[in-house]
Amino acid sequence: MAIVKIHAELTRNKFHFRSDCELHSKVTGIFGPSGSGKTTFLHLLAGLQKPEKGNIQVNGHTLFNSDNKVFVPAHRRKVGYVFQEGRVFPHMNVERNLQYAMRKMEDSKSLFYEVVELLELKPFLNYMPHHLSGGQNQRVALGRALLSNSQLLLLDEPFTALDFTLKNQVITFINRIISHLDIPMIIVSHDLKDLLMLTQNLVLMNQGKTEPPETYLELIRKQKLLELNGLISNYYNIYDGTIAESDPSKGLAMVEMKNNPQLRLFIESDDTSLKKGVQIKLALRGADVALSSHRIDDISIRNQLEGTIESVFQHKNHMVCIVNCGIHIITRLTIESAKKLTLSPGKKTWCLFKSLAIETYR
Amino acid sequence: MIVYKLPILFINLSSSEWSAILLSLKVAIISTVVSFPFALLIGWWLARSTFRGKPLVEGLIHLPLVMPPVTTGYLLLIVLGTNGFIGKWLFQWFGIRIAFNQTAAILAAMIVSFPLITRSISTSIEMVDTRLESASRTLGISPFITFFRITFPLAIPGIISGVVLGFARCLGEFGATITFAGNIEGETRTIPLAVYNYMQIPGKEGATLRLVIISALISLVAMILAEYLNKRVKQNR
Repeated sequence: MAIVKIHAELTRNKFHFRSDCELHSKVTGIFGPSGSGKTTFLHLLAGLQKPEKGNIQVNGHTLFNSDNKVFVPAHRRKVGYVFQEGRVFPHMNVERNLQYAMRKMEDSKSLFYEVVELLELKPFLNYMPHHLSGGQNQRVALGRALLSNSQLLLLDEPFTALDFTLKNQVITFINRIISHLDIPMIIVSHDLKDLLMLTQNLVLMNQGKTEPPETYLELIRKQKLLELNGLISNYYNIYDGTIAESDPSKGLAMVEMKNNPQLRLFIESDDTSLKKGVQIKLALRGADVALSSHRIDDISIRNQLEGTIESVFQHKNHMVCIVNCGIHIITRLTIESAKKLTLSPGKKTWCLFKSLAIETYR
Repeated sequence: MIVYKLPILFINLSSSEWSAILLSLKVAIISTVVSFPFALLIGWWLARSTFRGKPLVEGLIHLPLVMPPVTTGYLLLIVLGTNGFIGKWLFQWFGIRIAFNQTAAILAAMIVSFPLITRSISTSIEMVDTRLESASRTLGISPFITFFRITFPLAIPGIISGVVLGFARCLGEFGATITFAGNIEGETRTIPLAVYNYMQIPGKEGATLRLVIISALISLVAMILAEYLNKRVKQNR
């Protein structure tokens, strides 16, 4: 059963919004440029805006149906919303903000402590929101929504107001929620890399229209993402993995890939907390991957994977090549290099990238 | 000198002075308490609604604020007096007489202070970020409960100052009261009316001054209390 069905139309000030999609995966990212209607999408689901016509369902419950004149108001939808600016209530401390929507403390005490622990909010329970940083406020907003008995959580650009470090912290916390709590999420962002850190299932949104959800790799393969001009140029590859071995003294660690446990990548790390078994996310830019027709031994590049080219195509002034090495690697290279290597689907090739080129996130 | 004599002030109060003071407090308290829920409702409505003709409605509500109080009293008399078009009906059918009694004094104070309270409340509610209200709704809290848990507490400084302003305005009410409720000792003669009365009687200078000082004191205490409450609210944040 689809978690969310949204077939809706809305026109506001010459902006025409139209969505026809069904979301099945637990976490879906909505990606598109600013002003493409991403927030409208969330507002329609939360009941903060009313479509002109259509039909909206969440977990099988009809929330809007223009034919039957059904419109469930926001407070009866059980759809939690984490806003861009957090919107933590300024006159309540963190604890009261978190408990704001909890019906009975006794029933959900254990969930309360679980959320407080997951989001590391215990030291701040007595703090007033104006004493918290942007990232901490965002965590309170997230916790508050999680404790509101919601069946679906909407996150609207949860990291735009945050600087780089705080953003990564919030991403970590959201990932913890995803893996520990069983609640479907829809996350909106105009930053593809942020979104990919949380999910690979994406709905593209452009000029008020949605596309059916597809995986990031499919979207690259079908060149759909590339049409959103200027938004992607880095072709990030994001992988889940677990630390298999770690040697901080040498500044190296080995990561076992979640999709393919036989496959291990070297990462650069002198972080002593990266012990065996710790789950991490890896980000690798497509442009940081070199292709070679054979393995090169006398070279400083530690990660050398053999794979088969799945697709190769030109986009504007560069080439994109997707290689299956047990994990899929999207690479970007110049037209000249691609010509020289005579890349074609089915051909074997080696992907080379330095351990330093891999960014890691907890 | 005056400060030194303050305690004596109270001891020397005559029974008619006492009655003016107690009546003033009674009228001010009752009319503020009765006005408050309506002022809150109308204030919220004015702050959160948009409709055609809103300026006209606002103007009508605020009219007693800018009209000479005597004319307000006169209008009240025309409408609610025993010969007024509603008053007549009330008297004939229910035997209720509104003009020239305590109810009239309270009503006059209410009408004159109402716009002051409403205005202050609606301005402070307007300042509350509606985005916090919609956040509350997405957390499953109904608009009604949201009002009392989010809007009201965030608007409380403006609400307190509105109530105090209204209370003070009731205490000072003269024109509408004397026109609509008359100047009856023990019934409608509040402090301002008593002061006016004493001023016209030779040898009552002492009584006049006593009442003036006491009314200043009451207003001062009300303002200090409001400030204190405001501080308490802010400290709790």
